[in-house]
Order: sequence, then C-alpha cells, then structure tokens
Amino acid sequence: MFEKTHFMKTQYLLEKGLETVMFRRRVIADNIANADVPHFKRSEVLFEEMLRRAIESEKTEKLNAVPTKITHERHIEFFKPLDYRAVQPKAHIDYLTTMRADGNNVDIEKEVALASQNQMQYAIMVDRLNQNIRQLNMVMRLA
Amino acid sequence: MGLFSAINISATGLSAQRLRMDVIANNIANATTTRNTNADGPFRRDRVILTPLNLRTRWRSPVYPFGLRTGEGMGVKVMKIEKDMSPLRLVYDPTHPDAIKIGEKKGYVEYPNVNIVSEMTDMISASRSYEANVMMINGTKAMFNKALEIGRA
Repeated sequence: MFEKTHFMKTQYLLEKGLETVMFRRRVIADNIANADVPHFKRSEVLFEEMLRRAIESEKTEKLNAVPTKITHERHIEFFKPLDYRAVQPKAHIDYLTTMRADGNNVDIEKEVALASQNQMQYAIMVDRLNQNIRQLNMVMRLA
Repeated sequence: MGLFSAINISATGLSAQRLRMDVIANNIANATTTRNTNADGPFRRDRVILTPLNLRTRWRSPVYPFGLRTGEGMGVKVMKIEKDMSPLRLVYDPTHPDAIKIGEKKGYVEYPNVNIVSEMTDMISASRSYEANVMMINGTKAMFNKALEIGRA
C-alpha cells in the first residue's frame, strides 16, 4: 500500500534494525556464556556499515554516474546502486586476537558495554517505530 | 532458534557456572578426604571441562579463514567432569589408618590434591560469570518487554 513511500522505508529499516539488534544480542550472550572456555573466539555482528554503504550508494552513485545508453534490455548500467533490502547481518569470528593465556579472547567488560549499548539501541528503535506509526496515523486522519 | 533464544543462551551459561560451583564445593568439602568411593586412594580434585555449543555446525575448507566458522553459537556445554591427576599432598602421620605401610613413602598419608586458595579463586570466577549471565538475562527481558510496546503508540 505504501511501499514506495518513506513511511515504509523507515518501517523496513527499523524492523531490520530490531532484527539485527536481537541477532547481536544472541551473539553477545554466546560470547559471555563462553567467557570461561579455553580457545573460544568471540564473534561480532556486522550490519550497520554495510547498510550505510548501500543507502549512500543510492545518492552518490546517481550523481557521479555517466549516463548509460541502453538500447537493449540486456544492457547493464555503469552504476547500479546497492539494494539496501539485500543487506543481511553477518556474524564474524574474531580469530586473530588472543587476550588470555588460555587462548580465549572474550573481554567481559567490552561485552557488557556492548550489551547495554545494544539494549538502549533496541529501546530507541522501538520508540522510533512507534513514532513512525503515530505519524502515519496522523496523516491518515487528515484524509 | 526460537523467540527466546537469547535468554536460552544465557541460561546455558548459568547452568554451566552453577555446575562449576557445585564441583568446587565438592572439592573444598573433600579437601582432607583420604579415601575415595573405590577405596583405592584419596579423593582427587574434580574439574569441569567446558566447550562451546554450536547447533548448526558445518564443515568449511580448513585452508580458508572462514573455515573456522561453525555457525551461530548457541551457548556453552559441559563436556565432562575430569579427575585432576596431579601429584597428591604427602603428610607424615604413621598412626593414621590410611598411612602407607610399605615402600620408601612408609608412614606418609596421601591427602587430596585440592588447593583451597585456587578453589576459592575459581569460586569467585564462577560466581562473577554467573552474575554476568544473569545481567544478560535481565537486559534481554527488558528488551522483550519493550518489544511489547510496539504499535501501542
């Protein structure tokens, strides 16, 4: 219904964000649960950087693009913006560092700090999601 | 992987740390036990071997760095409780009923290889790890409560 509007884009990004925050929560919980296991390597989730790159590519690559002359349906454009919907959160193992003599690299202070940051991020996103719904409600009441 | 898997992951940490605590309590309680249940020597210190729990392990090429990747971690698991076979403590006490009767160690009693100081530090470590997992569960609970507010604008 509103697929092409900013309402749905915001909605999509917030939903994806909440999903990622919960995924990161699981990864942090796993890191903390394994803080005493020898040779365990911590994981981390990458998502925001990739998402930012995809969203900025929509703006910048349109401006820099040399217009492509397309005369056939199978021609490819020079610059194609990355689709932000295709960006998925990914967990990576930090296998290069070692922090303790037993080969474990979980820094419990860092994990706890990440966990509380994660929790606040979730609260903020839920607030923005509610605000988005409220705005859509307001617009629909005008009609 | 269900709705509450973040809480379940922390719960595996809680039960592993609780078991570590039980084993440490048993070690301290038996710090001067000179007979084990098989009656073939003194009590020996137990230790807990922990291992990560991956439910979706999959094989990748070992030459490629991501070959280390075994899927999303699902918590921690107790692999086994192992007997510590390090040397026992010898105390000279010839009148003790468990004193060694023959050989060059005659008159000595073998006491368990439990070191109270290291058990105490292990205990502190286990209880701190337990607290970290409890904190994680509380935070996740707050997040789920927040999620219930979606759409109640």
